[in-house]
Amino acid sequence: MAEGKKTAAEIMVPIGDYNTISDQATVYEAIRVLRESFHRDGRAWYGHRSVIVLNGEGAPSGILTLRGILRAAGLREMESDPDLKADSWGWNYVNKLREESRLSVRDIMQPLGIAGVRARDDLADVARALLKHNVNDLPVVKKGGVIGIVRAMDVFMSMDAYFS
Amino acid sequence: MPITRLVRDIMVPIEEYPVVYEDAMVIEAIHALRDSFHQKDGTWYGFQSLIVLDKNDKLVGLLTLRGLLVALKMREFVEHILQGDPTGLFFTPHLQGDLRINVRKIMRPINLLTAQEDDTIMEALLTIVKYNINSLPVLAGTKPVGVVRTIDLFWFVGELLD
Repeated sequence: MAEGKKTAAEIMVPIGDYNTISDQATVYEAIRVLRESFHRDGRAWYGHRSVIVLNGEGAPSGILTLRGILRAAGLREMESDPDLKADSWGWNYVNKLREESRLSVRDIMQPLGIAGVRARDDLADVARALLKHNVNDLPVVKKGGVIGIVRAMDVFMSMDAYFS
Repeated sequence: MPITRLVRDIMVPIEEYPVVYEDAMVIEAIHALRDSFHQKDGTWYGFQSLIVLDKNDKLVGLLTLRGLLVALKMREFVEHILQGDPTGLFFTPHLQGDLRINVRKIMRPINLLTAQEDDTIMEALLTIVKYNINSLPVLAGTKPVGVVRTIDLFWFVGELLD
């Protein structure tokens, strides 16, 4: 049995470590901010890969990921594929986006309020939650507030204790 | 030209990608992936998946972070059932296999999702978005030649957004 199981709070990236962006920013601004949170060195990319989205009150309301940007880029192509539309966006939502002239960060971010883990949840709990919600990032909640983001990467870096 | 940029222009060539064998145990896969990593100024960089080879060095799958999360879930489930008492395996022999998890059990088989090297990057992007994956093996016909990832597409996404 693994000794000293790490918790979500111990492996997460604290929320203060992230760059932020307003939920009203455009997709173009989002790309620029994401690029700034990266560095490139040959084939290896480093950086946090995500940006925290702030709502009108300045509170974290979502995570902006590379996937969100790619979904925006594929939107026009997706309009002609019913499967994609149903899975990724939903019919009504696609219609709404067509009517609006410009996508905002709020349209493409992963909202924080839907799924998360508790600060004291252990590694296996985090793994199960990431798998269940089919994401690579989840908010870590303590006393009703988001204190950080825990990623599949963070679980990976600590999971060897379960396999020795 | 940008509209028709091809997968082969942006993919990671297969020679540059980290590999692991399908009969390796989870702990070996973890080390193989970690070997491709380093930490600098508090952030990690490197590859986040591995090409999986069979004993004939044929590419049979991709091992991703998701596969490793599944391994942890499987392992922890068995530990939970046993409650720390390995004699319980006598009564649950079907679980013994789940204690010895190899890469083959947790990888994504190669034939499930692939791109061709002369597909457009938009075609690769749609596959990655539709199936919710982050890395996609690239073939020239039936021959594996590279891997294309979310991050490789992101670099060129400005061109795809009118």
